[in-house]
Amino acid sequence: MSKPLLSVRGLSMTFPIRAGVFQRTRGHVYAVSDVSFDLRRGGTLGIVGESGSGKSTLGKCVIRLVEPTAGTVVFDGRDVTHLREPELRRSIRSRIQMVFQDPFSSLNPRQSLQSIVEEPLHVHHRLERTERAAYAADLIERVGLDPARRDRKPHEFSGGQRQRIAIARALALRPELIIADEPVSALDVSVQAQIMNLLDDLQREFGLTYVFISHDLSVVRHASEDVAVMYLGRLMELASRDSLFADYRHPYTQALMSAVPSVRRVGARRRSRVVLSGEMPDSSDPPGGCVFHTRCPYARDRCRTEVPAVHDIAENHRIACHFPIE
Amino acid sequence: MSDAVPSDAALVVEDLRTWFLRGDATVKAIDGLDLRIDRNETVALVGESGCGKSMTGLSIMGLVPSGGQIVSGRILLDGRDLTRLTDREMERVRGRDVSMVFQEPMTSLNPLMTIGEQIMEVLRYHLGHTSDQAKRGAEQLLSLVGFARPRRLIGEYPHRLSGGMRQRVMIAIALACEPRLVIADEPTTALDVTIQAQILELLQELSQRVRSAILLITHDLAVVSEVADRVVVMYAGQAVESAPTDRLFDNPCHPYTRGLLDCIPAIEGPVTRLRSIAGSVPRPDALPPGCRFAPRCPVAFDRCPLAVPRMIEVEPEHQVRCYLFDGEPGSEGSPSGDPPA
Repeated sequence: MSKPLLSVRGLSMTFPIRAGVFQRTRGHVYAVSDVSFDLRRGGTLGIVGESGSGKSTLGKCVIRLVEPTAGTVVFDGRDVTHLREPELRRSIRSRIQMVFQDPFSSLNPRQSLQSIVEEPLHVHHRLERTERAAYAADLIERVGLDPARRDRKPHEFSGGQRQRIAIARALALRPELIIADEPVSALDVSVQAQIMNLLDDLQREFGLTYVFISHDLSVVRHASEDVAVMYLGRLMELASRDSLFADYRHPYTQALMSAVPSVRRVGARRRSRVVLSGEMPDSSDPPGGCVFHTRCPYARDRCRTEVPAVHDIAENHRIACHFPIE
Repeated sequence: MSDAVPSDAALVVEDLRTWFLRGDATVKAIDGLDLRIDRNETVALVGESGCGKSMTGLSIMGLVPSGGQIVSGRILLDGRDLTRLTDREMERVRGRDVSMVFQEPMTSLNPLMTIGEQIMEVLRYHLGHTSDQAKRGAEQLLSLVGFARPRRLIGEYPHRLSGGMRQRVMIAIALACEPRLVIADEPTTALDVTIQAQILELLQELSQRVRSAILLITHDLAVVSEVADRVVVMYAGQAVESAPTDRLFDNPCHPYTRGLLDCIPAIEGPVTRLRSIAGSVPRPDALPPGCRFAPRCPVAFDRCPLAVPRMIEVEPEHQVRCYLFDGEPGSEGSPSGDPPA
């Protein structure tokens, strides 16, 4: 593999829980624990997991919205883990952008479409006024919106159109990496498909690299080249899309797959599923050993005491499990 | 279908119209909906946001938000027209004969009451249980929905429970009086996929045991394909297709239903570019003339914008509201009646 655009090693993010008058630390939330991966330029890494799996926090660590408590984030050959302003803005903020789930709460309701898309150019002091306007109009059109509506406010657009606005804003600075955190989860299926196709087109046109975070396995499968499965802050399995979906080896991946309802399996309707019992444990008190052992149907003694290391199980296929599925 | 109600129907909705009058605009949230659910049957009402599916649930429950009203139609629960009941009478029906499970259980559970109190209240009010009876009933219900130690849970407050546990409590409350009909409005949308599977299995299993009919309101066709006996697809306030689940997925007829199925990314098979439906759902105060899907429809022809098509039976128990299947020209006053290709 050529030099990756993004390289994450041993990344951990631990939040203190503070309580009481003196805000003393009462414990910690282990949001992300010891996650490593590489992402090639122009590729897409899908990160899939349930709520509390740490997938969003992982994305925020990469873009440095939060500073990780351990590990390194190397972007384009440079360690950016502990960069400070103004260096942070210069080398990260313009080159990595984020797209969020709910475009309505991430867009200023008082700003017009045009000024939302132009704003990043302002902040990063690029282009003259007239050039900016032309550039913004171009972007607005590129994401499938009508430039004639550039003076409208976010509430005058539908959910899908708002997500297009957020994408146009993210593209304004010509970033290389986009972290998309549940970008289609709030949208109706017919609109979801439009936005996924748009992301696909833009990736080709601008040579973008994506980290695509979602709870939806089918969506991740469609969007990604490689897929990482997370549970309770840890990486469970990481593989190319085809090997993960056709040949998953981790019991948690298996449970996730079998829980996904699917319209395509007509013959197998009402099939028996691997329904996991119980719920995801509290991330301030993760189980010892393998974090999944409390719900794993195959757990043995070793799983309760020893944290399984992430190891290669086949080419481009890594897994954190003592007893992978054969 | 308006006269004799077949005796195995738990719910029959006929030509329901729930409108909101706002100044000079009329918002037709539901505009001529027919629906029938038999005993022991699970019928799914599917559609995208704004299609009127949640308003259907609220109309049946007699909980239409202020500003709106049922302007025509009948809602027959066991042959009794709910639209004619007084508020007082409806209060007795709600929770006893028909109950509801919502998407977000945190907002529908009272945060200041314990789990036990909330279940016992239903049992006392509707079934006239004494405190002791209600307490035993609550424990039984909680163990029925899968709690290992119901006695401990009875004194807990809702915020102490996870989303999946709260949804189990909501199901316990909904089933407390063994109602004729349970309306489940996006019951698993807020839940993680592994929990979603648990809740869907629970709902199905319990409705079998209690013999309630279920109206499952959802945007998720995949969920539907696994649990529903019959599916009604809604678009812009109307049913556009209705069929037994297998037939709907094997032979979707309405262009909107086909479009919806094509949009869903598959979990297996080759990964291809997704097909999408152009445009978006029309606003209910600005409905297009004629077939409401026509402006987005890839196969619309000159007849479509002229009048709303009627429901056509394409095979037994399978109806579709589309001119492609309507050989008779001039139905519902359509002036030009070119037969479809």
